[in-house]
Amino acid sequence: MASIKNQKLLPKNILSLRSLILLILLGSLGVLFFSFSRWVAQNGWLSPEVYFFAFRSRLFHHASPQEGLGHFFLTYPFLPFLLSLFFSSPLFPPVVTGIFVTLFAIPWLKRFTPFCATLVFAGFLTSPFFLATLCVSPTIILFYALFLNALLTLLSFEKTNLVLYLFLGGISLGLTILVLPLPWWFLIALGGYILTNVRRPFTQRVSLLLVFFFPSMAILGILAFSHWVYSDTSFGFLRASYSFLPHFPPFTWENLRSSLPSLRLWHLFFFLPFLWSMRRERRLLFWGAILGIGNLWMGFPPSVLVTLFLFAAAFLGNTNPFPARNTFLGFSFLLCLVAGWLLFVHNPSSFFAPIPYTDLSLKVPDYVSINRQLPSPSKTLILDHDSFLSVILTTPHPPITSESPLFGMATTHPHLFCDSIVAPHDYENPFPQFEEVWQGQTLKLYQKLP
Amino acid sequence: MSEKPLGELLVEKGFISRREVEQALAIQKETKGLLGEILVSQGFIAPFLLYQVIAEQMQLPYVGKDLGELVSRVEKEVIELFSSQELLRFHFFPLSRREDTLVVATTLPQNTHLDTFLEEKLGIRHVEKQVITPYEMDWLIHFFFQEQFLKEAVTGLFFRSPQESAARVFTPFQWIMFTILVILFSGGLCFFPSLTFTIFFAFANLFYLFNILFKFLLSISGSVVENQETVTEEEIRSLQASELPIYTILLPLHREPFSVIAQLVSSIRELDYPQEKLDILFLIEEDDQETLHHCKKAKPPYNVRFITIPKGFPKTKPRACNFGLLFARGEFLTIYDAEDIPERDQLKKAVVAFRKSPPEIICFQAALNFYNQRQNLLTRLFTLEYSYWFDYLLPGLFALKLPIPLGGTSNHFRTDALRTLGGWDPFNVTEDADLGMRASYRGYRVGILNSTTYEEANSALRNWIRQRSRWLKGYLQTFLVHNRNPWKIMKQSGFKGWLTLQIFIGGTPIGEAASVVLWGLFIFWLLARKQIALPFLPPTLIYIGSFNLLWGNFFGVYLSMLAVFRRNLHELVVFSLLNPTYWLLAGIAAWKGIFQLLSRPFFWEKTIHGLHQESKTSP
Repeated sequence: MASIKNQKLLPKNILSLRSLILLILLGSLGVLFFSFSRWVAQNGWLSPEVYFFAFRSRLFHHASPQEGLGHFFLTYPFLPFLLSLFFSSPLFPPVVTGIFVTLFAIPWLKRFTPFCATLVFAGFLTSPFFLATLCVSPTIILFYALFLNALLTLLSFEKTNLVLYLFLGGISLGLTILVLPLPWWFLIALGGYILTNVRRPFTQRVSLLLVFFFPSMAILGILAFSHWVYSDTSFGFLRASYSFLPHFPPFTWENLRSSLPSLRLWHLFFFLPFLWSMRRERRLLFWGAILGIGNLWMGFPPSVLVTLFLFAAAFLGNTNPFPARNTFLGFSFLLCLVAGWLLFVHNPSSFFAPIPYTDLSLKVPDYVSINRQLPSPSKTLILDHDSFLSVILTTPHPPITSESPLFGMATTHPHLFCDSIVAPHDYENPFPQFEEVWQGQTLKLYQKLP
Repeated sequence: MSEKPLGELLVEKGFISRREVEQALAIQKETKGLLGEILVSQGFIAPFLLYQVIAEQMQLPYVGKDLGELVSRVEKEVIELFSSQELLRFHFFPLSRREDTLVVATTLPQNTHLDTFLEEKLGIRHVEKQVITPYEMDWLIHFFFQEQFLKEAVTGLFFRSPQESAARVFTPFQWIMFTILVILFSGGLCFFPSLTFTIFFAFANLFYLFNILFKFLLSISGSVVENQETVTEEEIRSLQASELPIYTILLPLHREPFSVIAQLVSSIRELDYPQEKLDILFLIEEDDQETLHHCKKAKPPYNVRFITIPKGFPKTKPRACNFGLLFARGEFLTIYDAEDIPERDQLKKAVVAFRKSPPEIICFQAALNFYNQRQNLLTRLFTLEYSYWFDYLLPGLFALKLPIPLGGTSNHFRTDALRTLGGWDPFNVTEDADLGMRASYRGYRVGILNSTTYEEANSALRNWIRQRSRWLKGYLQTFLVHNRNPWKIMKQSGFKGWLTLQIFIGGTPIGEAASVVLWGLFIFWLLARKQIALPFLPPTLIYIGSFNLLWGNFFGVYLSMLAVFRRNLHELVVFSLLNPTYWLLAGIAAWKGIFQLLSRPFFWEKTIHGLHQESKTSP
């Protein structure tokens, strides 16, 4: 009797050779990411963002169980924090993020021949662009990986009608909310695209929109609920400096101003052949533009743009005039890799973000101490410019930071708005109705006189 | 024997027209069936007329006119020489024996297999044949084997394999464990409330965590194979009608309104399968004269046989099905509910699926969905649930080679294998789920068929609660039955088979019942958040509880949303947001099921069908 067709669909043994290769690959990449981030840290180029996740993790492990709950649910961006939760060292957020992104990329490589897939894989993950960006901003790497994955799965759904792609795409897009709230800007554009460009009846387009966006809406709801439970402020997570929506337009403008001049022509060389070979692919240009603008908005090195655009081009292009497109792509990636490393060795510091380094290793313990000394219902004014560290504070009232609307008035009339003030160690302006109660290595704490 | 062909004789006597003969001959050319059966199945002639002519053609007496007289001629000691299955298989009923001659009534007088069989079994060389119709044959079997059949239908499984029967709800060991748990919980609540609450909370949440992860894994596995068809359209097209075997359809009917029966008859006629190869059994309870009347009024085709189920305990659908199974003639068998509308080619698909499957796949489950999904909110939510269950979870179970609890209808069986399994458990009120699990634990597998049967979604809340509480009670029965010897289950189907029983079968009613308590606690905590602190709860539990509450509900809603999207039921997508309300209703039904398990374990709460038609006809 003929064997049943579906037997070939059944899952393979988890201890197969393929799984073993995957484990070895992930292990090797883990060692590479770790070595690179250690080297970056030794040179003082590891970004405050990476320290932030490491210190949040340390804080979580050293807090009391009840305080730990607050740290866990109130930390934002949540996903990178969750990924690095088990490691307190700042060397690990780039490593776990890199591994996570690798896992996301693997299924897409099935579109290439094995030779080409290996080249692309090696070329991308071992490129200095990728490694450096991991150490600059694991958040943005995660964001792009998830967002790109969402777009690719949506396109795959359009091609195959396989609901699994819709599911993965929706979840992927939803998870970006746990990284940055910015996808909402893209979601609006994407919603418009689905409603106007997707060739389906209107009711189907609306339901497609609902299905695709539900995870994002639900995850936003989950975040808001968690924050409401632990801080009474549903959207407190938007206080994270680079996602504070009221500050978004000036923030974007500043980033555009600083990023555009740093875009060098050589950044474009490597993806010009792709542009040429995929010139008829309008969708590619559309998404490429979105990625580019997004990248510039975020103010990260143009290397990120180049890498991501190459990546997107490789996966999105399907009208390529070259018969050996895969080999061509692989070769180009290899070229990118070699050229990238040459440039990196020549001037490594240019690959890292121009964000001033702050010795957070001193500042975070101060915040921890302040948190223990603050009376429980205290209203606190934060005059420190690393305002994202203020999320360490677990008082029920959200602290007033430079991003709060009341900040200006609170600074001039602090006695009307707060009970405590956290100021830098060298802050010289006196607060008449407050007394200094504690002084750490980088910060001071004032409390209102009775 | 007359040399004239049967068709000619029938035309000569004016029973049928020449055109009807030609039509029947055309069908015969394609299906290679018997002309007489084709004529009857097409409704061209009444069976008793046909068989009289056949008797005349064969120059044999037709003895079906006076059944009373026929019964008086039957020698009981001759019947005892044969099993009922032998009689049904060779289409004969022994009447008497005179030395070397056996007198039999048969529906197939030209059947030479019968002569061979009788010679091999009893060494009889002379068989005196008399003709009866299949209906009279059924009547005779029913008359003489009723008690034996009833005994087999009710206690067959229990006597052959008491460990697998739900006739005993709890074993002594299970009673002891249950009592200890109740005492510990009650005592704990009185003397150590915080600790007891923490333990309860921990168990409930760990269970939910496993449940969520397990169902997520199933859904992913199910969606990976969503575009893979068990049987393709091309395979159906290349199927020769002559290759199709006899297919039995069991239709247990109970208190069915005429509208439902009329729809059923119409669905039967619509099936894309040679009518003469359909062996359709209407299973009607002896005291249900109303349904019998409706069935007669609906004038079903002649390939439908009415089987009267004698009065008895327990009065359940599986008992009726077991009784019907004893009359089944088909190589394959399926079961439909009265209100079902299967896709036209479902039987053909099942035949192809069986033919290309290994013998250990003894059953194929078709998907179930609803034709009245837009009737009201309840039917919409029910559709969401069914779409998720049949389109994601069951294919996921199949893909991971896990036991599959069968759905209520549209299970297609290899008839012999079903008999080997012992049929349905009449004491289990979800006999289908139990059968699926039993099959798996005996080394068989259940496959998934890419065909849908459309049913009537329950549109009235009380009716829905009745149906759901019965299902959940049945799941608990199945859980208890197969947990009598967990080591054996693990040995036979591995850890994952055992886990499926705990999470999928036991977990469904227990989880739904616990969800009511947990939702209640959550709402209470939400309202009194500032006043009520639960410092005794370990943070790990709060993390797990939060994950279950937030992500569990999210996945539940999202997956059902995707399921209806996949079925192109786009207008239902938005209703998936109301799923938590529906789960709350299921929780209420679960509690009812639990109480009923303790008070009336075998009580079959009948689901009222035909509400859909009623709502359409009401002003």
